[in-house]
Amino acid sequence: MKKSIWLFLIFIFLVIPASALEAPVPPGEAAAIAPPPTLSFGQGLQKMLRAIIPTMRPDVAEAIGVCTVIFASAVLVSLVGGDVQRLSDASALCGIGCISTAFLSSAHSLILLGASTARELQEYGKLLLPVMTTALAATGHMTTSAALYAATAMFNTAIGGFLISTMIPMLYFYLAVCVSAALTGEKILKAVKKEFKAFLTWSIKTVLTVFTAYLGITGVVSGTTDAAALKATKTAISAFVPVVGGVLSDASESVLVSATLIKNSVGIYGIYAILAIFLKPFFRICLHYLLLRICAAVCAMFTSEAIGELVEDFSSVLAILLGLTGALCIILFISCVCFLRGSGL
Amino acid sequence: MKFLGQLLVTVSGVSILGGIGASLTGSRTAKRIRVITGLFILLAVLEAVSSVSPGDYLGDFERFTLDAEHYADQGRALSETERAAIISRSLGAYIETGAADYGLRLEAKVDLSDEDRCSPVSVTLTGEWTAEQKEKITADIAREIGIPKERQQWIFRK
Repeated sequence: MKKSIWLFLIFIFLVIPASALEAPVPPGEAAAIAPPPTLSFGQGLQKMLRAIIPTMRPDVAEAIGVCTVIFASAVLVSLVGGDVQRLSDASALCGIGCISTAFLSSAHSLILLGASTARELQEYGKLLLPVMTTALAATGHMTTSAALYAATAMFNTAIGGFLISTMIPMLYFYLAVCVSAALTGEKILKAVKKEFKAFLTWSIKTVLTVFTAYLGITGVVSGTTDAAALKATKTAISAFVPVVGGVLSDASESVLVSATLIKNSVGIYGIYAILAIFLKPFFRICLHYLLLRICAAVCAMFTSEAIGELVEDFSSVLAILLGLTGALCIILFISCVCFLRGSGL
Repeated sequence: MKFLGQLLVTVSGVSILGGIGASLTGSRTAKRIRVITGLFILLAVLEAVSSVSPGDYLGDFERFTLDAEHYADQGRALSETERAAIISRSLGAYIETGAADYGLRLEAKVDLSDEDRCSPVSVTLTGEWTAEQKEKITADIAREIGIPKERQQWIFRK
């Protein structure tokens, strides 16, 4: 009887902290897509895909339209050009103009979409991370939670800032360099284009490597510190008189259980919310990218080298955009998983 | 981030202008344009690299570290508050159950130490009792919970 009274009391207290910490709701339509944290990851993902895929029809039509214009221009250039050099040059210039116009109109909206997604992810991260940090610290992982927050917030701000303030204007410049290189055939422009792409790819890889390495080291260092602190607390508890020691131990246990429940619930909802913000723009850009890659492969078979290269460059712009937005999402994702595990990588 | 943006804008701007200029002119002038463009790019890179101050980035990291400590402290405070509430109410319930064994209906409110927020320092007991019952319970509380007689406040209420 006594035991059941004690259990009843403990379970009543378990409810108390649940109201203190809640995961922030994602902005816009992502709030409607994000599934509740009670669903399993597979079910949640399925629910989100079911909500997103039917809305992709206009994007499929737009991407096919752009690729058709590019393909038709490439076919016309190869048909008109023939053996006459002057005619061939003029048609190539016209072809490049047509292809650039067709791509740039959709590229503009995709770049803006990438930027707004990055901004939304960055802002959501700023709301989610403090809640996750507080929830993890409540489970006794003080050092780990502080280290995870510092790293994630710094990388989130750095990559978000880099993408929004530097990359977006630079993607337009990169497009200009690609078009200029295709039009003039200048070696210097081709070299700049190549270096630019290499620099961006290297930046994304380096940032992700540094981030994961930092989390790996944090996992070892802060995990040890937290374990030592936990051991010290247990030793202090055993020094109390038996009744108080028992109550203290039970109370610590129930606070830990409730804090872990909250942390898991916030973390899982956070992961779903991040995916809900990211998945739709990701699919949109990915769809354009994949169709453009196929188009570039087909064009390369029968059109001039300059046009084939230009279409490939355009697809690489979308790849860079995907890479940068994806990097921001991956950082938040990895961080949420680390918060859930209560340790670094 | 600003310096990187400026650097990339300068490099690509100079390259586009240089490239177009070189393609529009004869081979000798084109060579000169290429050399001048290359020098401009080199200057832009050197200027940007020399203007980088690591202090700005360290400052940001310091801010994030302070924020991290603040949020972690909030988490600790939250769990400590919850734990203190549970301990206080559980000890109160323990005393009330013990009093019921002596046939008493008491209301016990246990106060915890401000320092560690888990060791009981005083208790307020409200209800009806006889001198003998009070003596027994006072001794039990002192022995089992560690609150001495002088820090037990008894309020008689019918």
